[in-house]
Amino acid sequence: MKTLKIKDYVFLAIISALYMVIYFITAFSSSVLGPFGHNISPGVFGLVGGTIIYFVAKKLGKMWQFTLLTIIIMGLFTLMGGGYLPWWICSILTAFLADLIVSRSSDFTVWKLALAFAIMQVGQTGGSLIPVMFFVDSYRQEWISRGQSPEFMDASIAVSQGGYALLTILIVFTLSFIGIYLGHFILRKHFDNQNM
Amino acid sequence: MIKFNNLSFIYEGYETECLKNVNFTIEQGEVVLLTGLSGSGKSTVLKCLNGLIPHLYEGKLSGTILLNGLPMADLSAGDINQTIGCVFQNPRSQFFTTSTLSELAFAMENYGIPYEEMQKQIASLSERFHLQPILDRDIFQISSGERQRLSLACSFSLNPKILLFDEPSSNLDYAMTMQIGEYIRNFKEQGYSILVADHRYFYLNNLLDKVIVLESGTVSGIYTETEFKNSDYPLRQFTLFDTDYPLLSYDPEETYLELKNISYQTILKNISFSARKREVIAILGKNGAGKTTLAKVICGMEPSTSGQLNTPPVMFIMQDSDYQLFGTSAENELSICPHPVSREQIHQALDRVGLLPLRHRHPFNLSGGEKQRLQIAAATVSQNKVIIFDEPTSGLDYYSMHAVSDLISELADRCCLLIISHDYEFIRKTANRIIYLADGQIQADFVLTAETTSQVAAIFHQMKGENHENP
Amino acid sequence: MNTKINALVLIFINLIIPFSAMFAHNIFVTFFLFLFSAVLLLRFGKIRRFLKYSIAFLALGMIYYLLLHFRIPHTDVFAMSFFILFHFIPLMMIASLLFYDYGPSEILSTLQLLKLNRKFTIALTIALRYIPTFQAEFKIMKSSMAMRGIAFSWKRPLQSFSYFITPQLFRCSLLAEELTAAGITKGIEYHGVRTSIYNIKWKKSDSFWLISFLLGFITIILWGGHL
Repeated sequence: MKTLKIKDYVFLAIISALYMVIYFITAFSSSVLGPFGHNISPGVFGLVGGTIIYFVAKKLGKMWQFTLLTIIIMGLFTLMGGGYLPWWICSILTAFLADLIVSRSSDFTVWKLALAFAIMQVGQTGGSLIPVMFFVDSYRQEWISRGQSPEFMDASIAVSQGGYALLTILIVFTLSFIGIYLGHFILRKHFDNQNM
Repeated sequence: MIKFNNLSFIYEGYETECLKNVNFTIEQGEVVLLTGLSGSGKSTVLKCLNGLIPHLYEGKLSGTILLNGLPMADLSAGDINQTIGCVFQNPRSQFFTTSTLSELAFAMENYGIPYEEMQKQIASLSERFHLQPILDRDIFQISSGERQRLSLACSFSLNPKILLFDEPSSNLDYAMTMQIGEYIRNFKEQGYSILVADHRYFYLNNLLDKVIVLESGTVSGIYTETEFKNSDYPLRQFTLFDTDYPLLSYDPEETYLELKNISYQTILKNISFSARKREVIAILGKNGAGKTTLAKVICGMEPSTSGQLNTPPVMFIMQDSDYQLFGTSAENELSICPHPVSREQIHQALDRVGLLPLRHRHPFNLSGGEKQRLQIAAATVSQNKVIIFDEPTSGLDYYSMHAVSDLISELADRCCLLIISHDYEFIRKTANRIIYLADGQIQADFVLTAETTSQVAAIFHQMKGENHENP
Repeated sequence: MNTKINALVLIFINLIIPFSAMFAHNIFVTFFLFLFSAVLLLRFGKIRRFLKYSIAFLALGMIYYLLLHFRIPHTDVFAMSFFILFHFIPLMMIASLLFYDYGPSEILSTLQLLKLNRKFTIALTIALRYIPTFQAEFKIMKSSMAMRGIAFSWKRPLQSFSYFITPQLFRCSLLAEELTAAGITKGIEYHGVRTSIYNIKWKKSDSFWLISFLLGFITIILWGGHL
């Protein structure tokens, strides 16, 4: 198993800068679709960012690559005032899982990487789904006590709950899964000529 | 101070040695030039000296390097960094922070130098390199000259005794390169040992104690400066302005490009000129004069604030070619084009720039000079009538510079060409018209004739004078 | 003499605020956070910024109140967005201090007080350094594509995206190599304790700010807003 060296830290740091810029663009575009758009934004990013992840897996292919990348990215979010504990926990746990699935050797199969990345992105979604799922009653009560109508609250909670939550996870999973295949399609030929 | 003893090195994954039995010494207070064609092993020698081999680049190293009598293999990276300072010149990848103050402190912070000591060192460095006005500013907001002084100051922060310069002339304009020469003279007087690896050396005239010539990884000769000047080595010029160059023909045809009173923000002011087929126009000016901005306005990357621009689609070959490489291989790169290009055309173009053997290689696995040549090959298969080159020869050795010069002269048969360059030899070999920009305005615009050639040298002197700051 | 409040205090407060949304079900928490952030802004002498945010805070609060009070149909979703924005103002006030009044290097030096892994701190420094670079480069990429006759087009999204992203990815690995080389000569691999040019120490006044914040915050949550 290859270990991460200082050069790999630098590489992942620069990649995470590119990741952040693209993340903000995609998150902004999908939040136009309202609360549901916000919930599926990790999937919209996944569709585009799969290429970045494919590149990392091809170039680096080392254990803990995705965990480290996620820690750097969550560190950046925290510095920007967006650190949120449930989000941290979900993201890092799923990145850890992704590493276990795909990073143990630099030779990976595309579907495994797609699976790993899809799990990572579902983890990102967890950050926005969990508070609604676990604190749903107090959440609903709180807004109603502020004067929102119960009907509206039920409707807006619905997009993060039950069937909608499942749908969100399914969409995020699928888009991210496709994202890796897009990356494979885009970069495959580039890596054919890498060792010449 | 430094002694290379039968040093050989093979990069991991390669079969041939990059360095073979390299032997030389550098004494205290010497200024040494390490020269040779692209791929001769200059930068590998530097990487051995600053400890990047074997710390970063893996491979098989044999022989020894003695640093002050001690084998380098026994020294820690910290010991090496505190003896040898490296001057980097690539702003995209040498700065770790965005503030001048934290950048100056960066190496000292890493080595755990106490706060008070850092303050003292920063005060002394900022006085020595005139950085007081820019302390604690954004690195990317200061001028390129200031950035250059900042990177010099950074390399001095750990008080090294030996300084390494890697191709200063490639990344700097004429005035700044001359200024580096002045700084080197100054450091020499203070007793520093200096090793410069470069294939241009006009800024080191009368400064050199030793010239080491590398050829395919071995030392092919060690000369004094005078011996080197009299050797039959394919010399780039030491004294730029004393050489005679044959006059180029000037027979322009129809007008392709026309600018009328073009202004851009506060950078360009009322630029007017037109350019015709068969013209090769060298755009001169010191850094910050607006040359690259002018190119961006002409090719449409930046819209002009006012004025009128008439031009067919323009191809602009940027200095940092990384933004312009899209292909999966060198061969594939040339086929990315709005019109069909035949395989023969592609192979011919690659052959002309010496890249045919590398046609299957990924563009990003080519060296800096090779990438530039690939870009020029891309220009030759394009159908653009106006092509702008930004510093096309910055990373090129003697032979490649000549090859590029020939290609550009051929391109002129169907195009008008604008070349931003500070390479005097290249300009005199290639251009038939000169436009000199200063403060965003055209200061001079003339055709090169027997009468006007002396003006070019005068412009170079003027550019140096304007930027001159005593080290 | 460094009289600036330690950035850790602000980072800590900004970590706490999102939690208040989960646990604190009364509007007085938001008022408290606003007051505390306002005092901080004034402590930094940022009077104009204080006024700007106060106006925004009051305006958002008013709009929210009015929308719900008059029960204008179909405005529920807007009311909710206004309230969320209203809630975020204190967070933005503190973030503005972190962003405009401390540099990234200064904040990172502060994080060293937490004895974070050194390689991780350096990685964060580099990431922050390159975010603006990539933002600027997106524009250059678009024009480079246009010049090669492969301009970004929504008709061929995959091809366009491919040309747009590939050079940037390969550039990342090139930059990583160059930057690591420069970094090794600047001691990023050295294992000793790192120092900082920003003379960051935890001062008594920092403890004062943090304790008063926590006292106020916890009191209000325990009290629960029962008048």
